Amino acid sequence: MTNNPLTIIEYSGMYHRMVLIRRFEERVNELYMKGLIPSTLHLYIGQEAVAVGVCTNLKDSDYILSTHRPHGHAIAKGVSIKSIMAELYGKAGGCCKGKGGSMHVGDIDVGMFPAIAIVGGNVPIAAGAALAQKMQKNGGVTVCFFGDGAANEGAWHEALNAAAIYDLPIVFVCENNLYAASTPFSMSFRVDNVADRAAGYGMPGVVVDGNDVIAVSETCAEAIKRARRGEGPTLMECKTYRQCGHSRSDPRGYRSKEEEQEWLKKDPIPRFEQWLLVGKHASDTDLAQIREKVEKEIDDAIAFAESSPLPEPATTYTDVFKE
Amino acid sequence: MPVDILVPPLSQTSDSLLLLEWLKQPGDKVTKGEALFTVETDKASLEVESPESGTLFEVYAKPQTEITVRSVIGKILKEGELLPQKSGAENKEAQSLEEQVVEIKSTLVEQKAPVGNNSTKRLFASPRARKLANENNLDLSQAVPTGSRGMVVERDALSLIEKAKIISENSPVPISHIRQVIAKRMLESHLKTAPVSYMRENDATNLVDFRNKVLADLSSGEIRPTFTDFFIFIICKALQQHPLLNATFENGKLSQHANVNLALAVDTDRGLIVPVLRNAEKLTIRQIAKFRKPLVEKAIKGSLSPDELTGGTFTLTNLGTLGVDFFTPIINPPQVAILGIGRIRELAVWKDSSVYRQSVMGLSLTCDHQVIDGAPAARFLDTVCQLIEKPIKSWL
Amino acid sequence: MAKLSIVEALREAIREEMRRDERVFCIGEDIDIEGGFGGAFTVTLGLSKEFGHDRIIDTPISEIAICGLAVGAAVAGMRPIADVQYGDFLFNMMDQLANEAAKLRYMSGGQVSVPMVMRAPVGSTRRGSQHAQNLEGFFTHVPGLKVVAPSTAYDAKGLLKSAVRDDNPVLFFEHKLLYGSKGQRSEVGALSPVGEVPDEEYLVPIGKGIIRREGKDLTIVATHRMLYESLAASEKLAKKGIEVEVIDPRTLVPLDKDLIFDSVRKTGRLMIVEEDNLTNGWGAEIAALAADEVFEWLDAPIKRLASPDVPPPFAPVLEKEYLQDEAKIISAIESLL
Repeated sequence: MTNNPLTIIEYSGMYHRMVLIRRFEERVNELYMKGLIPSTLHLYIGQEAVAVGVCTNLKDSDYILSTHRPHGHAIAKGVSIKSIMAELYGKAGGCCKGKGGSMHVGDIDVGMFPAIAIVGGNVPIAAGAALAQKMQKNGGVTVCFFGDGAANEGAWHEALNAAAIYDLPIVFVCENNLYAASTPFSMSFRVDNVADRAAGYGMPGVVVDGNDVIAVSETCAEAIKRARRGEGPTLMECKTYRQCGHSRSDPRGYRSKEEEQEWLKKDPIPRFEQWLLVGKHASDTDLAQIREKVEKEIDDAIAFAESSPLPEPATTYTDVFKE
Repeated sequence: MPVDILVPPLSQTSDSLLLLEWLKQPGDKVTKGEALFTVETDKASLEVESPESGTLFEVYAKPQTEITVRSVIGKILKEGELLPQKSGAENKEAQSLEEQVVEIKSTLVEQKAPVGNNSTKRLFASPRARKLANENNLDLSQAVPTGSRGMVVERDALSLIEKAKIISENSPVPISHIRQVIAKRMLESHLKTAPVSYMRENDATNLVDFRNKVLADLSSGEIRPTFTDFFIFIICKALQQHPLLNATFENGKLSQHANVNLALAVDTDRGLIVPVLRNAEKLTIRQIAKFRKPLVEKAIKGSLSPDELTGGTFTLTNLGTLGVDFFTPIINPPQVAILGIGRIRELAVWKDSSVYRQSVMGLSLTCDHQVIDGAPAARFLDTVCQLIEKPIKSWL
Repeated sequence: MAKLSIVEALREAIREEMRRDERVFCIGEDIDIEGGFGGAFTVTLGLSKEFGHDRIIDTPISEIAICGLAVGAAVAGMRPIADVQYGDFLFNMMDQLANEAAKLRYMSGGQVSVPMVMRAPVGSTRRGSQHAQNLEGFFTHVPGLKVVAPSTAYDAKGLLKSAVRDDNPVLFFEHKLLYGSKGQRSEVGALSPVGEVPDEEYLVPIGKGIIRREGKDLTIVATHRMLYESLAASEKLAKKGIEVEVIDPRTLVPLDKDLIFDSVRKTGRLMIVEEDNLTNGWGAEIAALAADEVFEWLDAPIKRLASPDVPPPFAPVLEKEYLQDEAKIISAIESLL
């Protein structure tokens, strides 16, 4: 399963982050159901292997661009869950001071641009970030996350082409969870894989099991190396599945129960647990401890969010321009 | 609609006929063509037929009265018509619903029209003009609008301000109290006296030189008498020689006065004020100068006491300083005379085969001819001139 | 002091800023291909000789990419001057401008800023509806974007330098007929105002207008070609004793309201002359602001002269009908007085 063994610390770190994402999303969902979170949510449950697998390879100075479903990416990249929770609560202590909400979380200090909710809108910007890194010659890379739906946006095509012609240090990570909102992949593509389009732009395209965190990590590591060497972009397609609906208001009538059951069996977290235990990279106790730790972290995040003050109404008018 | 009963033009010579009598009474049924009333023209008596069938319901002309050709003297209700409302309260129910509605509507319209047209007429004025109007208390409805879309604009408001200024400058203003008093007295003078003015030009060269000499001999700090002071001195002397002019004439009685209370005409910005220098005949020239100055100042300030304004026996008025040579001063009743001093002009005269400087002065004396005839007046004037020409004589 | 056309002034501004700050770069279509025209209106001609193609980046016909690359690079620390060949093509990149460039700072709670410039030529020039639009009005309505519209060489240079140094997205509108492009790229009917430009470093601040002509009877606010038409009209009206005050706002967002309103308090009359379409244009905004903030000083209705609500036509006689000009301005002013 792996050609590039990471250390145990890194493995447990990956597990921690996957569980953190999973539990964060599940608990945030509960809070939402109780009416404590004012916004809608686009939950990442089921796709944790992609975020963690990719971001494991990144430094704080590397950038990620995310989408309307950004919590997983944010947690994987190292954005504080306290600040994310407070942002969801719409509080002044949120990472965007309550002005962005769920779909715009980010922390530029750890390399995450504020998430962009316009499907495909983040792709050209990611190319721009990579252009800057190339011009600055600092060896940095940019990763752009997007779903299968974005691959039909004009912006996506312009951006991939630009990345290719300028040999930008960027990895395009497509999380193909088979549905763009309620529209199945097969309806929108004449090709079987988003990655098939890479050739059209003159860049390598790779398909990977998006629920295998190690596979994702290793594939991404290769793409990143290419980028840092100045060899240009890669399009990496991760086949995965979102276990919940598109958003909180989605009863998922467009997916069959069988399909959902099939994918539940491929849940990335139990798979990784299995892999860790079998490879003796961690014990049951270690994993249990991590899970316990995660619950506490989330408790703290909720407490932080609840005690954080509401934003002052006057801040409605601030940060439009930088003075 | 009721049918009018018209007076037919039966007379060739006249517009009026005499209604003799009605052949039907109100309420009677009439038939078209039936005789309705009789009239008398200048020629004959004639019957007039009914114009319509129906009921005779109103007549306006009484028998044996004059009626005018083509006028309406009655009404006939046609078959089936309801009686229209009379001006009285009766017959109200009889009025048809339609007619009632029409009447109500027309009264409503009449009521609405004045409110809509006159009192709520909207003023179209620009905000800038309104601001100016507020600040200056203008009534913009008086402004002539010249702005776009017929608006009153700033320049129109400014025009209003200009107009208001002009009007206020030209409008009649009530005169001050002092003026009223002066006006009354002046008019009275004209009504009560028979003024005749005597004018004489006289040689004041010697008086001028005399005064200059006096002034030259004064030390500094001493009061310097004016020409008027000298003149007052001379007048007093002259008046003592002609007491008739130093008199008052009231209610038909003439009082000659031993004292000369000389009234001096002073021009102030409130009008002509005439303070009185009492017992002037007793005063030296120096004293005249001493007392006259504060008197004049008080007159100008308006702080004269009533004593200082009454009791004058003769008035002196000087317009010479303002360039007048001769004038007809107006007598101040009950005084009987007033002397006006004119301008002193420097002339070159031919005398004794030489050219001499002469200071020539105009004197204008007005006397009340009720009590002073021309000859005494002229004689007084002559005395004054002699004293002016030979000032030293004043002390003799 | 040199006498420069607007094209030359802009090129100088770019050159100076690129020399001054290595983070500054240019990106756009055909901006300096070898043997090419140096941008549709020659503004960037020859710059790659000094700065190389790493900093003068030619792109495919990808307006979304041009803007997105600029946005991303700006957030990541660079200072791009992006270039759209015709203002009309801004619509192709509208999402990147209005949803991303304008909002990233605000929705991140101030974490990031987007210090980019998007240069766009505008104005009707007999090329047909889709190459003729003035469209400042769309962008003055987007919170988070600054909108600049210089009309002289001095302002073009000074404002472009200020725009590059501004830490926010600036939409920089240049009028095609005012460039003064020469040779092959010269325009029919161009005004080509040539102006004095100091040799020393100077900036024109964003957000400050200027009075081009003083007067007491009426205030005109106008940009670009309409500014020159207004000035010409004012000269003619002066002979009839009508003194028009002409204001060049230079920046539309943020607007120099104080300058405009001080003038309206003096003259009592306001007219906006723009080449943008009438309805909901930036002129409408100034008129509404004035009707609110200087209502009591108005002595006449506020008038907007603008292109009618039709796409820009091609035939010269129709274009003449479409555009405002000296004669129409004079006529409108006389009816206001």
